[in-house]
Amino acid sequence: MKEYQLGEFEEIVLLTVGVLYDEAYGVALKNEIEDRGKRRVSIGALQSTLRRLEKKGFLDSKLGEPDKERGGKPKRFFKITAYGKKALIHSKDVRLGLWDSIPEIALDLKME
Amino acid sequence: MIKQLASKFFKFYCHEDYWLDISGDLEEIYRYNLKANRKYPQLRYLIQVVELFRPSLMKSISENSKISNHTIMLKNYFNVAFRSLQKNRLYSFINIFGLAIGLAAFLMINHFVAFEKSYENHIVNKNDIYRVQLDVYQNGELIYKSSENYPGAGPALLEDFPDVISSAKLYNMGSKNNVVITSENGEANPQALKHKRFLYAEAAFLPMFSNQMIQGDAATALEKPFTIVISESMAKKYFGNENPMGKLLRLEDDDFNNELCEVTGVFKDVPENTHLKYDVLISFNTLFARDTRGTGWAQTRYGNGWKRKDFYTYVQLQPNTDPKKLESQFSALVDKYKPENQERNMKDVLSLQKVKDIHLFSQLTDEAEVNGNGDGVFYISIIAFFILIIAWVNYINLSTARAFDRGREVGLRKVMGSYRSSLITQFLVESLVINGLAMLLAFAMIFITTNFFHNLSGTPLSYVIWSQSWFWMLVGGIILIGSLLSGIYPAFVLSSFKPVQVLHGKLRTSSGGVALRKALVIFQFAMSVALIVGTATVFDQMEYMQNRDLGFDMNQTIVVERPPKQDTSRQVRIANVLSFKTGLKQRPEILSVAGSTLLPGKKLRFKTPIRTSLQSQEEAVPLSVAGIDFDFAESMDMKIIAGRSFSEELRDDLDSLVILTENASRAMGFEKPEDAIGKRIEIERFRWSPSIVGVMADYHQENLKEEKPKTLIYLSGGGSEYFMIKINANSASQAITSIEEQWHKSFAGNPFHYFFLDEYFNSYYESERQFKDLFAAFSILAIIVGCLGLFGLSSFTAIQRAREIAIRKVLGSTVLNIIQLLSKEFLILVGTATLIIWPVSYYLMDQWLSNYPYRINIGWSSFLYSGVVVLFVTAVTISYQTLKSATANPVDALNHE
Repeated sequence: MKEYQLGEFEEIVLLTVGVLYDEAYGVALKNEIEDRGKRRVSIGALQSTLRRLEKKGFLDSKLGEPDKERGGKPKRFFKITAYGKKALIHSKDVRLGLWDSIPEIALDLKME
Repeated sequence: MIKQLASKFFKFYCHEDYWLDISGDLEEIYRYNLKANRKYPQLRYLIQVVELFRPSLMKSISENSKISNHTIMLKNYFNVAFRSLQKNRLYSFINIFGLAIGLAAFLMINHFVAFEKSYENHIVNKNDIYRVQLDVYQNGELIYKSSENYPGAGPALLEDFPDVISSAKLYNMGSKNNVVITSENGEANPQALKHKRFLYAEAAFLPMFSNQMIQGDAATALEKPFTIVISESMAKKYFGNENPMGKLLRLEDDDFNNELCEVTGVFKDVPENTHLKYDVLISFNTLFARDTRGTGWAQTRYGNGWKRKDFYTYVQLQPNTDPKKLESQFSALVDKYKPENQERNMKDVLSLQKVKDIHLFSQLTDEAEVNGNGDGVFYISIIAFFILIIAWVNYINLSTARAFDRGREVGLRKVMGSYRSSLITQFLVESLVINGLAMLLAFAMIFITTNFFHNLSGTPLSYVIWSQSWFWMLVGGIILIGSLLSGIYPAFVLSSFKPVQVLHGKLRTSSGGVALRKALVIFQFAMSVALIVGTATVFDQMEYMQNRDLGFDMNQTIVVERPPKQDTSRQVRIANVLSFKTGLKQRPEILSVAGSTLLPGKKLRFKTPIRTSLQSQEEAVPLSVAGIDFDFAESMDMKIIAGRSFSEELRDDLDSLVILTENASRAMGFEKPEDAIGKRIEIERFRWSPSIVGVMADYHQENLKEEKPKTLIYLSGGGSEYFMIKINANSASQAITSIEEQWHKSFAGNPFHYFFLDEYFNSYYESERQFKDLFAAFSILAIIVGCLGLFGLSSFTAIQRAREIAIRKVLGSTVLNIIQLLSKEFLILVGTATLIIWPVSYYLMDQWLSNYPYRINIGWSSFLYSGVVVLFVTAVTISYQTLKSATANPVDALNHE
C-alpha cells in the first residue's frame, strides 16, 4: 500500500490535526506538537508538511474569518480527509502488527 | 524595521495560496512573543521567515500559468551559457578570475575614494557651511594662507551679511597650548588626561555641525562660561557609568588657567571622516570670563579684534547663496574693520572654503589635521577604471579569439533556424553569467582582503564596504554595463558568421578582428607600463623625500611638550626646566636635551616684518620667528655657516642676539652670510633691535612638500615649548623610563606623553604613503589581469596554429624557431605598447612631481625598468604555451584529417 506511506513527522502532524479537531491551524498545531512531543517545531517544516499532506489528499483545509489578532489575516483550518484517516489507520495497523510480532525476550533484553 | 523587511521578503517568495494564512500565523506568534516579553521578537520573526524559505512553499515558475516562450528561452540561454563555461574550463577560469580581480580592485579603490569623499557627510547642512579662509599679504607678498581667522571676522560676517545665517568660532588652543583636564567630585582616583582634541567653541557650533547629543541640549549647552561638553568616550573615561551631567572637570593649561567647568552635554563621538576632530568642547564665553579685572582685553583678543588670527571660523549661509558673490563683498568688510592695513602696506583676503572640500583640497597653515590629497584620490580613481577596462578587454579578446571554436556552434544553430537576435542574446547572457560569477568571486576576494586593504588605504574598519549604498548601486551598474560592453562586440562578431562557411571549416578570423585584438593588447600593456612607471616614480619621490638631508638630525630623538600645569612664578618655572634638563643630562642613556619653540615638521606660526636698521620700513621682509635654547643647534646637528651659535659660556643674553637662516639673511639683502654678522636689525612689532650673531644653514622646518622658511631665531631661555631629547639607540626603553621619572620629578602632577621626532615628521607623508601603496598594489593587479588575458590569448593562438606548427616542424623547423615564431608576435605588441606609453607617462609623472618643491628628476631607469619588467613578464606568461606547442609531436596535430 505505497500510497498510504507516511513519514514520521507527517504522521505526527496528521494525528495532531485530528487531536485539535476544530482548532487545527498553524500556530495551534505548532504549540500542540511542541507541548506533547517536547521538541521544537520550525514553522517552515510544519507548513511545508501541511501543504504536502494537503496535496497528497490526506488533509483538506478552509480559510476562517479575518482575525484582528493576526493583523487581519484569517486562519487556515485543516481537517483529516477520509483518505487521510485510511492512511493513519494503515500506519497504526502496521505498527501494532510489528509490536505484536516482537518476541518478549527481545524487549526484555533491551530493558537492561 | 527587521520585521517589515522580513515580511516583505516573505510576501516576495511565498506562494500566493499560502501567503495569507501563514503570514497570519507569523503575526500571531509575533504578538504572542511581544506579550510574553520574549527577547528579540523581530529577530525571531525573521528566523521564522528564513525557516519558511523552502521550495515547497515558494512561488514556482513551472506552476505559473502565465509562463511564456520567452522565459523558457531565457532559461535555455542560461543553460547554454553554463554548458559553454564548463566545456572550456581554462578559458572560463581566466575570464572569471581576471574579471574578478579587476572588479575587486575597482570596488576596493572606490571604497577608498568614497571614504575620502565622505568627509563631513554627517553634517546636515554641509553644502551651506563654509570655513572662512584668510590670506595675508605684506608688501604685496603672500605670507600666509591660513585656515584660521581673526576673532572679529565671524561676528562681522554675521552682522553685515543677511545671507550668513550662523557663525561659529573655535579657538584652537589645543594645537598651541597644553591642557590637562582632571575629574573632580571627590573621587578616589581622579582622572587627569592631557588633551589635544579640544576646542573652545561658540554655542552655535554644536547645532551647525549636527552634533548628536546623548545628553544636554545642542543649542544651549555651550552658552554659559565654564561649561564643557564632552564626547561619549571621554564621558566613559572620566565618569565610567555615572551620569556626567552637572559633574565638574578641572581645566589647567600652560597659560596658568585653572578653572572648574561644569559638564552640560555629552555628544556622540565625532566620526573618522571629518576634518575637525574633537573630544572636548569648552564654551567660548569661558575665554571672556577670564578677563577678571574687566579691562576688556579678552573682548579684543577673543571677541571682535582683528589682530591675532587663531580662530577657526565657520559660517552657515542661506541655502542657495552664491558664495562667490558673497566673497566679492569681503574686501569692503576688511577695509571697514581693519583700516590700518593701508598704512602698513598689508592686505587681508577673506574667502569661503566649502566645508566638504577641506579634507581633500585644502592645504593651509594650521589645518586641524593633515588633510588628504585630492589629486592622489583622482589619480587612484582613474587607475580603478583602467583596471576594470583591462579586465573587460580580456573578455573581449578571449571571446573573439575563441570565435573559431564557437563558429561551428553558431553555424549549426543558424541552420536549425536560429535568429541572429537570439544568438546575440545568447552571447550577451553568457557575458552576463561570466560577469555575475566574477562579481561573486570579487566579493569573496574583497571579503578575504578586507583587513589588509583597510590597512593599506588607511580607511577605518568602521567604514564597512558592504553597508554602503553606492557599493550596491555600483555593483549592479557594473554587472549590467560590463556585460553589455564586453559582450556586445563578441556577440555581433560571432552571430554574423555565415553558416555555410563555418560549417565548411573555412572560417578565418577576420583581419578586422585581429587588428582590434592587437590594439586592445597594446592598450592593456600600455596601461601596465604606465602604472609601473608611475609606481617607480612615486617610490623614488617618496624615497627622496624621506631620505633627504633635512639640515638637522632627527634620529633617536624623543620629543616631550612642556608641562601644562605649571607654577605661576617665572623663577620656579625656569628652575623646573633647568632641573629637568640637568637631571636628564646626567643619565648615560640620554645624549643631549634641547629646548625650542619650534617643532620640526610643524609649520612656524609666527611671521613678522623685519629689517636692518639701515633699511626703511617699506623694505622690511616678513620672517618666521622661532626660539631655541643654548643646546639646540648643537644637539640637533644644525650647521652654522657664519658667525657662531648662541653660547652659554659667553653668557649670551636673551635680548640682544639672534641667528638668521641662510635664506633669511639673503632675503634681508646680505650678499654673503658673513656680511650679516654683527648687523643690527629692527623688529617693530616687539620694539626690539637685536644684532645678528650667526647665520645657520637652511633646514627643512617642514616636510618636503613645503618650502624652507626664512627664519629668525632667538634665544628662548626658559620658555621652550618642546624638549628634544637625543637618546642612546641601544637603551631606548631605559631612556624613556628615565625621561618619565625625571618628568614626574621636575613637573609633578603632569601626565607624561612623548613621541619620536622622525615618526612625527614623517606622519606628514601619510597621504603620500597611502598613495604609494595603493599605486603599487593596483599596478601589480593590473599586470596580473593583463597577463591572464595574454596567457589565454597565447593558448588560443597556439591551438589555432597547431597544424601550421606541425607542418613547419615536419619540414625541419627547430623548437627554437617555433618558439621565436610564437613569441615574436606578442613581444612586438608589448614592445609597441611600451614605446607608445613612455612619453605619455613621462608627461603625467612630470606633472605630478611639479607639485613638489623638492622633487626628483625622472630618470631613464624607471622607463627601462618598466619595459624590461613587462617584456619579461610577457615572455614568462606565454612561454608555457609556446613551449608546449613547440615541443608537441607533429603527428598529433596532423592526424586529425
